[in-house]
Parts: sequence; C-alpha cells; structure tokens
Amino acid sequence: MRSSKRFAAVGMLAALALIAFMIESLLPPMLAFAPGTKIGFSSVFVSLCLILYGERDALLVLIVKCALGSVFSGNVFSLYYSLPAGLASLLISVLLYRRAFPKVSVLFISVVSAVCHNITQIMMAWALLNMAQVLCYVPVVTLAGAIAGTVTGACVYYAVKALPERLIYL
Amino acid sequence: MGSLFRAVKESKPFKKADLLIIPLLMLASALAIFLLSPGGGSYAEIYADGKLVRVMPLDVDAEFVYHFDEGRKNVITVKGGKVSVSYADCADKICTHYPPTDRASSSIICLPHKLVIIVRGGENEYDGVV
Amino acid sequence: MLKTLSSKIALPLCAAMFFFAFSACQVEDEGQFFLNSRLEIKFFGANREAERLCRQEITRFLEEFEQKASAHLEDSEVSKFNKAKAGERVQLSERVYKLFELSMEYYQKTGGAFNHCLYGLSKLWGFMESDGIYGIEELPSQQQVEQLLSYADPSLIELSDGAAVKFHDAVKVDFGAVAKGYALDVCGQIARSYGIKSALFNMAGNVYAIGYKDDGAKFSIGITDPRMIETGEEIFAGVRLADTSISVSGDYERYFLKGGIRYCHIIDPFTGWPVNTGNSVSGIISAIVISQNAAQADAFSTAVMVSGPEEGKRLLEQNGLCGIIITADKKYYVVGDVELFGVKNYERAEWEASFGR
Repeated sequence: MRSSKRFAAVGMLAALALIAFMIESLLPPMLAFAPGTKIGFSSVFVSLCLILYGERDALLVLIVKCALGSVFSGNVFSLYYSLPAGLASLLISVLLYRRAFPKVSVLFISVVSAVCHNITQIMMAWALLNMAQVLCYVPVVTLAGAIAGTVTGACVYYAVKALPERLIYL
Repeated sequence: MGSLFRAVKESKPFKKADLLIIPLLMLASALAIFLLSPGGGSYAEIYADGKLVRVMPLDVDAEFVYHFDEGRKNVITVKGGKVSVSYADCADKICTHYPPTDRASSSIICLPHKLVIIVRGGENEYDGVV
Repeated sequence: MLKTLSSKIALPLCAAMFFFAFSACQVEDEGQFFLNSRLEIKFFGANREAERLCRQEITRFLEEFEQKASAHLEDSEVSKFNKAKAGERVQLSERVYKLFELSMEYYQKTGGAFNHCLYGLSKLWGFMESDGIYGIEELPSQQQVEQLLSYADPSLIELSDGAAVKFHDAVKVDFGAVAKGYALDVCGQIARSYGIKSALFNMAGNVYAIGYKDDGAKFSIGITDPRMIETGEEIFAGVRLADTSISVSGDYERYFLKGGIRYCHIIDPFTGWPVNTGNSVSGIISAIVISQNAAQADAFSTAVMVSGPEEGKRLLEQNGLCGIIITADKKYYVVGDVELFGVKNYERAEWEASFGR
C-alpha cells in the first residue's frame, strides 16, 4: 500500500529522470549516425521505478519526465513524439517483465524497449509529414536503440544489484 | 511489491541468447543501413509540408532559405557536392545535426518545420546530366 | 563480473559499432571543385596510371586557376583588376589574360549579348554571394541599375602585353559565364596530353567529351528539365554527342522568387535586369549550345538566354554552332544538327517563316 516514504521515493526517481533528461539534452549527440536519438539515461529511472514500485508509478515518472522535460528545455513540440515513444517503450517493458521475465534478461528488455521507443518516434514523424521516405530511418534508429538499450540495460541491472532491499522496500 | 525487485536482483545480467540476438540485431540493422544507401546523388529535393518547393543540384554550391513562418526559417546549403541544413531556428535543431550528405535517397528532416530534404538522382541511363 | 561484461557484451557491441562506423565513413575521391562547382570526371579507357596522373594535374590546375580567376577571392588577379583604379595597369597571368581576350571576342561576336563586365549588376541583384544567401530583400531602383549598367561596358577595358587597363574605376569583371567552359578546355588538353582518348567531364552545366565511349558509341547526355519541380521529371531530353562540348544556361540554376516573379542569376546586359524580368523579355528558360570549344559553348549559352529565340538562332548559325532553345511556353526549338532523343513534357516548335532572317 502507498506510504509517504514510497511517494517520496517515486518523486525522487521522477526528479532524477528529469535531471538526467536535461543533462543529456545539453550534451552533444552521442549517436551521430542517428540524429535525434539519444542514449536515454532518463529511461533508466523509469525502468527502475517499474522494477521497484510497479507500472503505475513508472507511468507517473514517465509523464513527469516528458511533460516537464519538454517545458524546461523549451521544446514543447517534442512532446508530440516523446510521449508516445515513452508510452510504447514502457508498455513493452511492462509486458515483458510480467510475461517473459525471467526467461529474458533485463538487458534484452531494455534493448527491445529502446528500439520500440525509437521506432515509435519514426512512426509519429511519418504521421505528421505523411512521407514514406521517413521510414528509411527505421534501420538507423534500430541500431541506435540496440546500442542505447544495451547501455541503459546495464545501468538498470547494476543499479538494482547495488540497491539494498531494506532501503527500497516500502 | 518487491517480488520483481528480488527477481531482478537474482537474475543474471544477460542470457546466452542475448549474446546472439543483440549483436545480431545490431549487425542486421547496420547491414540494412549499408545496403540501403546506393550513393551518387545528383540533386536535392526540398519538400515543405509534403509539397516540393525547390530542387537544388548538388554540383553547384548554393543556399536556399525556407521560411516556415514569421521569422522561423531553415537554411539549406549545398557545398562541396553535399547538402545539409546550415541554420535552423526550430525547437530542437536536430536537422542541423545531420552530416552533409550526397547519398541518393538519404534524407534530412526538420519535424517542427515539416521540412524534408531528399537526395535523388544518379540512377538514369545517361553518361552525364547537364 | 566486469570481465564477463566486457568480453561478452562489449566485444560484439564494439564490433558492430566499428562495422557501422567504417561503412559510414567510406573513403572517397575528394573530388575536384572549381568556382563553387563540382567537376566529375569519368574515364572510359583502361590506363589507370595515366588517369590517376591526369586527375592529379587537373586538381592542381583547378586549384591554381581558381586562386587567380575567381571574383570572390580577395587576392585573385580578377579581384585585383576589379579593385584597381582607372589607368592602373594590372598584370595578368597567361590564362587569366586569355579569359579577358576570349570574353572580348565573344562580346563582339554576340553583339553584346555576352558581357563579362556584369560584376556590379550581379552583386546588386544579390548573386555575388560568396558565403551568404543569394537574393535580395528589396529590388534595386531603376537608377541604381542604370548607373551600374553604364559601366558594364567591355570597351572600357584595354588589353595589351599580358595586362589589362580599365578606363573607369567602376568597371568590374566576372567570368562566371565563361570560366568553367574555359577550364574544361584546359582539362581536355591535359587529358589529351596523357594520351587519354575517351573521357567525360561534367562541371555544373558544362560537359566536355573526349572521343567516343570505349565501345565506339556516342555519349548520351541528359539535359535537366528547367521546370523539374512542376513536371516531376529530372530530364528534359537526351543528346548524343562525341568529341565535343555542351553547355546549358537556365533560369533554374540560381534564382529567387519575389512577388511571383523569378529573378535568376543571368543578367541581361542590355537592360541590367535578370533575364525575363523588368524590361528584359527573352522568353527563354534554358539555352543549350554545342561546340567543340567549351568556352565558346559556355559563353554562347548565356548569350542565347538573353537574346530570345530568333536572335539566338541567328547567333548560333552565324558562328557555326548548334543548340536547343527551351521557352517559357513549354516549347523547344532546335538549331542545327542535334541528335536529340527521349523528349518529355515539351513540344517541339518549328521556326516560323518570320524567324531566322
């Protein structure tokens, strides 16, 4: 059941996700071959929240990160693609953690959800521009997602490994 | 509520299958990228909101200003045989991060300004186009 | 734990990234550039070594020549001339002097339709951008145009002993309409000096062909459709030729739109306005000229653009040249013997009885 400690913990994860998002937006593009994609360190906190506290709170962290992130970075337009992409990747993560885990690893789930995130962004671009040309980017963002997912997956896994249970269990 | 947490803690970082699937996915997409770029573009088509507004040959250095609306614009530059967006005041400026390209069917997209630049040409039966 | 991480995940990951990075930055021939245009060379022979040396020499030539002949570069001989005062003798290197001479010759042969003294007007209309965006916010006044027009007069330049003297400070030259053709002629000489018998040079609207293709066939050269945006077709038609050069001038290469009117970079030397604007009405949207001399083809394609179909035909015939004239009403005229094929979207017009006197 919800406790105020948990509420605070989720709040902190949301804040961390937001900070990670803001910092990453200031850094130069990491994956130069795929413009517009990022490693997405903020998603580490969303995944952590999912693992620790479940999907409702993870969704909360995601929405806070997307909404405030777009406002603070001065790019409200980005909500058009970042929110659907975030939702899609969260949905996939939830499904995989519920149904497939532990037959699949954390790394795998991370990679799949990162790829889904990126492909959803392409879909949203396609919907807006209405030009099939945009779909040529699918292989590019898939590779970017695979790389990003590997990095964030490792972060999630080792973060969970490192966190002592009594601190989290609320 | 800690069951997933415990389960993750006890899990291995990756499975044997991951060593196969993930690199395979990377190589497959890298291959797809590699194969889908025939190279040899001769001109760049500039689409604004789905409509072709300008064609710029790649063999002449030139610039074209696309005005999205009051004061918002992108500057598309052809230099050294490649096309790029040299200036943009859109919300995210992702369009300016694309490296200059001359590969046929490659594209540069400015989503907030609904601008799409597609490189074309080269695939015809002529020895040269003038 | 970290060891397994690095050996089992990082390794394939790095391999994938390397593979991708490697394929992404394929090492290509740097390409040759001249006066803001790219030169593409295709050799059809089998002598790789000669071709390699030829490419090297051409690259050197183009670099050196651009340093001397470009009106954009501050230290070029052309810029020196432009900045010089009246009466000042500007010494020129052999090739630049040749540009002055050829331009004077073409000026006379085209009755003034080709004019190399349009630097001031080009700048006025915003086409002298070296690193900016061409086009202008407001149209110049008729006064400004006429003022500059009075100095757009090649007879205000005297050439002798490898030097040029102008009779007025404001006389400024720009060889954009003939330099590429001339450069191609020199490239052709260089290639021939290496024994190359079959090659194709393509530089932004000018093509120079040496010999025939390796199978003995003529080269097929596609001509850009001047209204490609409307027709959706890249090519207007193809021309078959060998051992000659072809040059195209059009209003679609550099232009800006204002009030629905297209202001292109080709200035009419008689009115000072871009062709097909103001008082200049030639009606031609693209002029194609074929000549063994690429400098001549380059200069005449500009001259024909400005002259209109009848006068253009006369100029070509008088100088033993052939070509094609495409007009704004989507028609095209052929002058002389041209092997044209695959025409799309344009209607052939015949010369009327009243034409061609």
